[in-house]
Amino acid sequence: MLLLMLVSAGMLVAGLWEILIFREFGPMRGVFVQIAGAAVLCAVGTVLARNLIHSALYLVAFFFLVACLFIMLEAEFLAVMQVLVFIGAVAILLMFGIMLTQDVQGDQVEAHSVLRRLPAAIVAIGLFVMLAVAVQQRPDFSKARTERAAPSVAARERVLNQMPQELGLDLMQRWCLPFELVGLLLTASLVGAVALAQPVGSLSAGSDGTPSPGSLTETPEHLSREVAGGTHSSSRPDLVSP
Amino acid sequence: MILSRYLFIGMLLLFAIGFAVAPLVLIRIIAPRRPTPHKGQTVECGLETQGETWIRFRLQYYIFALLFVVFDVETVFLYPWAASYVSLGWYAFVEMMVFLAMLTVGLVYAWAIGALKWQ
Amino acid sequence: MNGLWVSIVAMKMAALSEPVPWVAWFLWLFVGFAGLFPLLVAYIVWGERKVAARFQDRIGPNRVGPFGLLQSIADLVKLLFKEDFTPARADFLIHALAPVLMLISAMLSLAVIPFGFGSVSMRNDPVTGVLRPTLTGFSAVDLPSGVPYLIAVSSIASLGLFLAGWSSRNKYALLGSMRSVAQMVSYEIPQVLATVPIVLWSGTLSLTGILDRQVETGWYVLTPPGFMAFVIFMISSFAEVNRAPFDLPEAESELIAGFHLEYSSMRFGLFFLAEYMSMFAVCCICTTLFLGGGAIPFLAFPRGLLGGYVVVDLFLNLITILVFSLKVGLLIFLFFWVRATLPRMRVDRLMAFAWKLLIPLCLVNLLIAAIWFEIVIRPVAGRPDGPGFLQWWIGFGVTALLEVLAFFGAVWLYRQDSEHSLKTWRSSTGSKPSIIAWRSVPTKV
Repeated sequence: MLLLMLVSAGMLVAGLWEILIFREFGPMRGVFVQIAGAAVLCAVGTVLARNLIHSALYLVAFFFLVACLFIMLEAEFLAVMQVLVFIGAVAILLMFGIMLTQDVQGDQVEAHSVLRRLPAAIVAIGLFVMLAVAVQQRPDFSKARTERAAPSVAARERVLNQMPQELGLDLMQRWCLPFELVGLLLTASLVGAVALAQPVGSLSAGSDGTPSPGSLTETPEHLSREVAGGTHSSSRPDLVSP
Repeated sequence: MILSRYLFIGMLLLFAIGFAVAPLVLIRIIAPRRPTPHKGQTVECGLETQGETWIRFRLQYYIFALLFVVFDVETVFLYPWAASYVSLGWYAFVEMMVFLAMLTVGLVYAWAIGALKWQ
Repeated sequence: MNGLWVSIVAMKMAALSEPVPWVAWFLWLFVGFAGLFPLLVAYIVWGERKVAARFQDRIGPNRVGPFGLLQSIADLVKLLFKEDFTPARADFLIHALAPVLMLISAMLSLAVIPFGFGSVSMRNDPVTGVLRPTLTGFSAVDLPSGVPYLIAVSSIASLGLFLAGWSSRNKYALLGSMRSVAQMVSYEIPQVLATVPIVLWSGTLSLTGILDRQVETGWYVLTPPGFMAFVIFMISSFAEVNRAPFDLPEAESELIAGFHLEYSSMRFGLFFLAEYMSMFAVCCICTTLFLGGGAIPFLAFPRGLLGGYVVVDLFLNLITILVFSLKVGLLIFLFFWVRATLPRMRVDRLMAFAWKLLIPLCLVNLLIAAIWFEIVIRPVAGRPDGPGFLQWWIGFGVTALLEVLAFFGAVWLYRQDSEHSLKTWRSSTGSKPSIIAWRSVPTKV
């Protein structure tokens, strides 16, 4: 409900802003401003939410709104992949990451001091300025809209229906090397993550609780071993900690 | 036009939200609600639940999620490749096999080091 | 929210001159998604109870209405009048959001399924490039990125599942949802990889395009790589919709009920509805991708008849929809059958099965699918008569041999891992090894 309220408040603000700034109600622009406004609000929610899972959910809403923006740009494949990778996979990764971290899953998160917030704020503002300047300085930023002739509806539809095929052709011919490099990058991240995670002593100490391959039933120990650190079921210190 | 197709998807999304929320609203009206302190307790098979539920989970889950993200990103490249394969020559086949071989090396490494073992 | 959609509609009407099929869309929404699909789901539930009863030598529901036909309706009414309550320590909003997400995921995936053949229009063939009459498909929408769209919307369900467990603030619910999310993400990979050969042969990601291709060249399940992909897809689908033998999240004996432990009344009903609807959706997807949609077996479809008269179109669509439903019904029966037959898998075996057996097999299958493409599909691209008899059988023989090799190779590789080797099994149990770790199997006395 909070999320919904925030989003609709964002719509309202965005609508007012749009009337104030643009003066004209172009339908496409109106939709864009509303989606973008809601996305900005979700981003703010991500930063401000006290509970990390709520924060991650705002981020998921933000990802979805970005997918909506891709649809508006008629980049259907990209939008679908945005949902597939970011909501389907990265969100799960985030959730598991939160569950992995001590003392942040609940609602008793301690507030960070200004000293720790300041560098983050500086980095964020710096990144924003950098991106804004980079976008502004693109030579075709202002000209592109006015000078390029809009393609006909039929031509656009033909291209859009062939989008995945065209993408594949480009990827395999023109962008062959980057494509392979992405593969290398993926492999590096996979290997790196697995290697980093492995030497943790608690994980390799499987001697205390590894089920013998022949164990026929799922014992209560098996259940409790799911919690962190491979602690033995009798002690379970992380279950009784305050 | 692409937007008109997604207009239906948007309509369906709203419809599905409505379809799911409507029963939740309906039960607020017609179903009885008599909360008691004992009823509101967390289920623990007859015992009182002890300690915090939102505790630290094992690294294993995160590793599998990470592997999943890597292979999910791989599909982003597999689908356009497969869709355009007919217009491409043998080099596309080789390119994709190199790509897949690299990921397979990663998978084999994870297997060999024991990261795929659920314990 | 309203403002957004109203302005999109306004934009549609103002900026685009293209006509929008409002009537058809509203029919889909209010006849299909509001009426027919939930009703179907209700009778799938009834069917499951009847079938499961027969498997266990019982009669099943037979009190409410003839043959217990109104049982699901009675259950719905019961659920609606049950006390609505949320545990005191639960996160109220997310607790309510979780089943909504699951239902959204199930409903959205039904939007692109071509239930019938629709009409025909002249389009460029994606493989050959020639202009030919193409089926338009009887689906709500036809997306150019249909297959990834399906995967994307079905992956939303795992998020809903996690939130259900987390927001309940119950140890068992959280454990159940963590496990089942790990399971769903693991099995999503083979599921996705199994659809890639289909896209490879069809040259398109649109489901209607894939259906059209199959009507043209024969069902994909009848080719060796297609059959392998079909089997892998079905197995992963069992895990994706949390059905037996992969119903660990709902393991009654270990986790009480898993992620929906703290859900009651209609809140639980929504999970139930979502589970059965996603099972229906997965069967529809499988029928479209592998079993030729509404095509009648052993008959060439009279494509020329379509697109002439409305009455003929309607009649042919009725037939194809019936055939489609029959195939979906058989697949759903397979789900029931497996549930009645196989015991639940152990969690470590389950993960190993996905990562160490299915994914390697999928990758090899992709290679073999490319070989099939080179032998049977590419040489005849552009020729109207399709692959010759001899060519088809050469392709069949080569790929079938490779598939058998790949299958035994993958199993061999799986057994090389000491965790799953036969030697370890024999030394520790002395019993017959199996991929499934047998729990206490109830035997009939």
